[in-house]
Amino acid sequence: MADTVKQKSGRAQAGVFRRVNRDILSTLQKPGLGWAAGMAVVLTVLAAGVTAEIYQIKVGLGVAGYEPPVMWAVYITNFVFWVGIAHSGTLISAILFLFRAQFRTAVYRVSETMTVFAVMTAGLFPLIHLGRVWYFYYLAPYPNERLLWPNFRSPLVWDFFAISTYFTISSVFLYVGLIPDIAAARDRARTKLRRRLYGALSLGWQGTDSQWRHYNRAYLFLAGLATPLVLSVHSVVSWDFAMAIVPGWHSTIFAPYFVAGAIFSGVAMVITLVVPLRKAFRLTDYIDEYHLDRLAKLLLLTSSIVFYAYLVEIWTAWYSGSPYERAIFWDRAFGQYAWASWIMYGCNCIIPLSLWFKRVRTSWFWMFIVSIFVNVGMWFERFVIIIQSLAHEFIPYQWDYYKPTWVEMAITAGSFAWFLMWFLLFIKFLPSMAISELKELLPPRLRRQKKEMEAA
Amino acid sequence: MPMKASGWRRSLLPILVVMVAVSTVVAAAACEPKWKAQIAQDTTPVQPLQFMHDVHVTAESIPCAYCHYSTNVSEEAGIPPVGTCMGCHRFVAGTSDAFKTEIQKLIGFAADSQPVPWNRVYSVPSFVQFTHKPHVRAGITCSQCHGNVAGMVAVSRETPLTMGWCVNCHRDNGAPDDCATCHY
Amino acid sequence: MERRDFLKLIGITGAGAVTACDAKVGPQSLIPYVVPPDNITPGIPTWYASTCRECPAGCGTHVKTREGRVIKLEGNPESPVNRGKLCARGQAAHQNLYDPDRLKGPKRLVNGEYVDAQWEQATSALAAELRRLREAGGDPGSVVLLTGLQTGTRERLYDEWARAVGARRVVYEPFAYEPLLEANRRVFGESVLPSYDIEGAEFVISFGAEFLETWISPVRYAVEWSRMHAFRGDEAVEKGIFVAVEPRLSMTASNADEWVSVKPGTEYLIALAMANVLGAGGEAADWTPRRAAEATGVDAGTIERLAGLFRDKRSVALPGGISTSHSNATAAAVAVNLLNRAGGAIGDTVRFSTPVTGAVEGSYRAIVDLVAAMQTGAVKALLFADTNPVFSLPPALGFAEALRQVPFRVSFGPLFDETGAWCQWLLPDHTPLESWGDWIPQQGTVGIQQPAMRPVFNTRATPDVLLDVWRTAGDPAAAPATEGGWYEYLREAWSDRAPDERAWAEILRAGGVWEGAAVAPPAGQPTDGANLGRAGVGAAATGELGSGEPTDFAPPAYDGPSGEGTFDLVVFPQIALYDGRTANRPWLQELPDPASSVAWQTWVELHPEVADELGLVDGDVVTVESAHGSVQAPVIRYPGARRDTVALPLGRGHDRMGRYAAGRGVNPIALLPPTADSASGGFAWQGVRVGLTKTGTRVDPLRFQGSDSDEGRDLAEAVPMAAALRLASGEAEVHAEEPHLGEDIPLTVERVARDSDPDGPYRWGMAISLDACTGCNACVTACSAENNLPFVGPERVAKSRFMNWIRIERYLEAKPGGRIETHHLPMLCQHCGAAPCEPVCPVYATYHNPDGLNVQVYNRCVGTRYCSNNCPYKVRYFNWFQYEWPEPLNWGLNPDVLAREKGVMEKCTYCVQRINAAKIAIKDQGPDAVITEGMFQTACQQTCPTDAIVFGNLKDPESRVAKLAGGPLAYSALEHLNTRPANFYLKQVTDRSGVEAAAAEPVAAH
Repeated sequence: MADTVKQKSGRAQAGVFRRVNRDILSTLQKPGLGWAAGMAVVLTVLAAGVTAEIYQIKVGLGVAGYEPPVMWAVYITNFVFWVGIAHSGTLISAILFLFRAQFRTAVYRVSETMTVFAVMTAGLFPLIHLGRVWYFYYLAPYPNERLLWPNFRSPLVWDFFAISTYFTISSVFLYVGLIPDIAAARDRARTKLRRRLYGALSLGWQGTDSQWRHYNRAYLFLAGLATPLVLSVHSVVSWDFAMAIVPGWHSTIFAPYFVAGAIFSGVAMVITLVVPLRKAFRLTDYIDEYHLDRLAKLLLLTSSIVFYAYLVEIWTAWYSGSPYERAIFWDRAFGQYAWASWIMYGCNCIIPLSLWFKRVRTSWFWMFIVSIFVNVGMWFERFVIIIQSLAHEFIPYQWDYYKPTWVEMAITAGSFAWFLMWFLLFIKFLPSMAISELKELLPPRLRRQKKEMEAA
Repeated sequence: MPMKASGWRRSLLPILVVMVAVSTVVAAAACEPKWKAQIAQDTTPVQPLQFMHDVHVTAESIPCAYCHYSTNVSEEAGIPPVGTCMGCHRFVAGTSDAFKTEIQKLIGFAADSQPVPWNRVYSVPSFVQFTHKPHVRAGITCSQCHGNVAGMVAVSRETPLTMGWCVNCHRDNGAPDDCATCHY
Repeated sequence: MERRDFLKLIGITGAGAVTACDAKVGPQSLIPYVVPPDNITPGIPTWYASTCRECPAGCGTHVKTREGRVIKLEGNPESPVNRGKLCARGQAAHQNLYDPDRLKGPKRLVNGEYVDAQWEQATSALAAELRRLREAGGDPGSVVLLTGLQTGTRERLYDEWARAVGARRVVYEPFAYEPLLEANRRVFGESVLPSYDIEGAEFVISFGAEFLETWISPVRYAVEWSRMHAFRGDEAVEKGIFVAVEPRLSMTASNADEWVSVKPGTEYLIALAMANVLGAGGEAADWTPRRAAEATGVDAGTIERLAGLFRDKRSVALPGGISTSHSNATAAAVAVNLLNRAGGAIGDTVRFSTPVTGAVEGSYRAIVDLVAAMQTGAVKALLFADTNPVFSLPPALGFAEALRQVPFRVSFGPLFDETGAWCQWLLPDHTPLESWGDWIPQQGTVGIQQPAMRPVFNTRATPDVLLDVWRTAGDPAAAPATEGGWYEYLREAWSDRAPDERAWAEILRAGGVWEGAAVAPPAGQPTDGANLGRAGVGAAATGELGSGEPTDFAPPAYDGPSGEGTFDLVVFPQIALYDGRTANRPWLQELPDPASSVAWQTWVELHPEVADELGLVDGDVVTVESAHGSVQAPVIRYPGARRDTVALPLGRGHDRMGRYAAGRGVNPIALLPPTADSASGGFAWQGVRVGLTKTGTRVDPLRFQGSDSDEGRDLAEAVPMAAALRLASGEAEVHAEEPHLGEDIPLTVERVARDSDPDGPYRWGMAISLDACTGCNACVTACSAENNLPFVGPERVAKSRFMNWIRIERYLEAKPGGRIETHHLPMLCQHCGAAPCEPVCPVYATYHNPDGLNVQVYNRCVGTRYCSNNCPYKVRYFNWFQYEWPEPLNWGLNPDVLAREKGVMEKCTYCVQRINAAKIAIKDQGPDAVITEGMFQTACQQTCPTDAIVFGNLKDPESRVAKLAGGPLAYSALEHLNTRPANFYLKQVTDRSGVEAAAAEPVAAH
């Protein structure tokens, strides 16, 4: 009797698990027209970006809109923006994993891949913005007969290490997380090529107990390793600015402020990606309002931290008594870049207030809208911090107004294309959700289904 | 699932590869620094007339500065004017036929008062401000940088002229190694 | 060796020699000389003394050449005119020599097309035509040689030539200052320009004389002005006062202690009223201060106060220049003369003993007559030498149309300019740097002009052409004095001064003969009353006018209706472009105007409030319309403009002349009527009323200046004279008055001097006197020439990507009584001891070297531009593109400095190439020898006419820079950032006339 029950539940288990495998791996099927069209668009835009960059290298950085004293502009804005995006990935997968926050399972794979690709995108911009990119290797410490080394006092060199470290860790973390699922993909793969490919990537995963035991240890260990990076990397990025004497940059609040902002934008980006993904691949059973609500709350929290940081900045400027600091923030609110500042305040502080309402937090439509606004707002935050501060420094003779050119726009668009290209490739070639973990704790609807099958 | 992948998917990877390749190539082409080529030039260029340093320096024991007249006062070593050559070669016609022909070339240049278009053996990139004078004053012998010219028929560059080569010598001799000594 | 042989040699080997020097920049061949020229060693510069010919002032120059190419000009310290200094125009003179748009050889017009010609062919054609005309027995007026102002041997040749070939010589100079001559004739019986001893005066009042910019001899007067006026705090002696009476806050007026803004055309009434107060009889009698006050809008109190100053101090009044010459210009100048005489300045600070060149009697009248003659067809042949009347005459005069009546037209201009475009023959002259000559800037002073390099193109010295023509076409009776060419002619003319070759060589070395070097007489004792003409003496005695005729002091005639919506037009010469002759020099086109900081374009200067009423912002294009023409140009709001005037700069608006001049800006002369000052016949530049209409289009205002005001940041500090004296005499505590950020720990020279290798002998630094700086921008061009600074062009200036390593920031400060205080702040790399740019560079491209220099290593720079972000002074400039030097402009590059490539950051290096050269040179005196004061100068310091920039070794307590930087007026810019700059600024000294104190009475309503 009990035996049959066990068998039943076993069968039910197997059935549900099979369904999980099927559903998730179904994303790996022959891509439909939609995907193809998407890819075509993405590649076109990317091509435009690459062309612009080649043109810029050939003719000189002057083809971008730089207008001294604004010596950093959209490229660095994009750099900080993408590093920011990268953050939530590690946060969601590593930190929430350590906190055993279950809602992460559905979305952490997406956010981790997002992390890796975002870092890959961010890493391009320091090069794109170099005046003589063909000498970029001067930035790397390599032994040479001239006995010349990079200047380790320069935050840019710190960046160099921060970014590369972050990229290594997060990609390893992503890969380790993928191993069991790649194995699953391997088992279901139909084409020879795929079988061989997945076979190689899954490192001969058999799902034995010992493997699972080691796997979980390794994963935990990596999670622990990745966690401090969430804080360190963006702190270093923020020091690119905080270490400078530019009014509006030179502030001790920058590190926490940037980290919060990064997570804020990252979470927003996760939502932006998950909503269409869920629709496109009919994963509604795996990602539901429950996850959405949690993400929304995370968004609300970070939003209020950012809001607070904005206010503190202004207060510090006033309290410092330095006319230069004060001038910067006055100009930020009412000067020639006021439009950008108010976009930033509006999108990052005002609109997220709507998340106090559960109806908004659980509405896919509204959350998508809000997340888009936050993405825009966070991009403009960097735009304002960098450009407005530089345009209004110590010497009034050297005040100016910067406008981007088509080259910068093309390259910026290209960077989004670059990011999406990798993402599209990923969802087609690797499972975009953690099958194994989903099996561990079935999402509510599947649990219901399992019960039904057992009852049957 | 059908085995054969549809057309656009097969072309997907190539497209990417080509795009990346093209961009890198063009970028590289756009930024090949000229001075690298300059450093890597032919170390023994063929000269318009075969001037024999060994004969002049060793056999005739003419001091370098006799012809390279501004070495100790200027940044340029000074290439001897045809007049200086003719100073001797008005009388020295050459011993062998080989010599004679070369000297005839020289006399030819002098006759229609044309300078001899020598080919450069030593040159530094434009961002290096090299000056002979202080080196000579510091007692650096010509051969330390120019090799044993006394033993050469056609002069060939024996030293690399790389920054490391300069810097090491400067360090060994307590010469300034401040960047602004040479770069401005 | 004979100089000419030597030049031939350079000729033969020039190209080769230069390749040898350029070999560093690429070409791999190595061309020696054929015969080694004496005094030329490859790699070592050769200097030639010569004379600057960019304007009639005739400053002495030293021309620096390398391997036979001119690369830099510097002032000749021995010349009494400019005493070693040059203005921006002089510094850019070799961009004239290397102008890529110069005519490459003679050309002739063949059915509408200019085709290349041979010199022989050209000369013989010219000769044939002239002989034909002479033998046809046309009246001597039928052949006209139209030249600009000339002196010395060239003038003699022109005149003799004209006589010999039966031609008439007409002299036309756009800025001829006829009214000054006429006024001097009337008052003193001397139709000459006296030399005004500004240096010796204690009170200088200028009635529209732009003597720091273009008036007569700007460099000379700038030097004198600074010695009279600049207070550096190294001695507690009160300095002189300078007051400017002008309708517009020109650069000159912006340096005045008091700008008296008056209605255009009424400046002279102030002078009259002052003379009246000083008791001058005659015409001045009925012009009481009260009456003058009504007419000018300047209150009587001010006039009386100024008159008091004029009486109590050793004073000089300067008569008006272009921007105040109305149809009553002579009367205005007479008024100033009366003031000078009533104030006892004649023979004291106004000296007729050494008249100066710069004015041409009856210049405009002559051209008017010429036009009349041309229209009647009386003129059969017209030859233009160093003049461009088609551009500089008002179209309303109809000169160009009249040219149609002249069958034979020849231009000797080196450039294909507006006048050249009317000629059948273009016979390009050498530029001054390629040709022999001499110039007499003032009586007794003769500057020699010698070729510093072989002609760049197939040009020929006009005197040589004329001599050939003379021999074939001239009256055989009057053959030229010499068989040879222009050089022999000149040499012969100098035979009395230089009988033998040694004397000649000495003259060439010195750059001329300076017999009449004016020495300032002791105060109050007229040295040369005797030199005054009889009438003058009489006048000085009796107070009557010198010549009989009375002067009518009626207000000028205004052309056009007054009233609502109309403005008085003020056209003013601009320091960089003079009368427009220098418009094709890119460095000068890109030189920001000292007042508006606009480059590359003509602008319409409008008072901000007027602009607001008309709804105009910077860059709005307006149509300025007079009865005679209209021009369109963008508006620039300038608080230094009067409400009732609009001002336009002269010099731009060429439609020929070359790629940099053609099509840039507009020429306001198109608005002017051909009116003349009745008394002197001089052209009346002012007095036109114009209307403004908004076109609706907008262009990028090409301004360098971001904000007109320093936003109360006190970057350019100033102290009142009284306080400055207390500081200098040690009575008051330094840093006592209004302490601001960071001043609690004042930065000392000793501290800054420690920011270098403790064992090394040097810490280079500067002391820059804001009281001396006039904002003339000479340093900017000097820096460009010395350091191969590219010009970036208008569209890049619009994005403020200009490359000037040193820039003059100009801040306006509103003072009580509506007065405006102008601060000129030269801003260049501060070579900070704790430089913010250094730690942020990821590749050590910028770092602090043992001499305390903040070095920029161009070939290490990868272009992150972080250093520029972190530089609080914003003095780092980025190569956004690979900037071009169109052949042969690149010939002028300094081979000792790298021409930076695209993607690299660059900035002021304190002329490190000169420092290193000095270091190498000093070692000749032993291994431990140390560079001492004055062994070398930076380019900016060398040329600064007012000695505002002092460079030197801060570690040497005896050096001038250390003394000044340690002085009471020294301060550091943005001191509170604790960057420890090596540049110390010496505060500007304001309120000398005590107006500030008595600010209760408003000075001028404007």
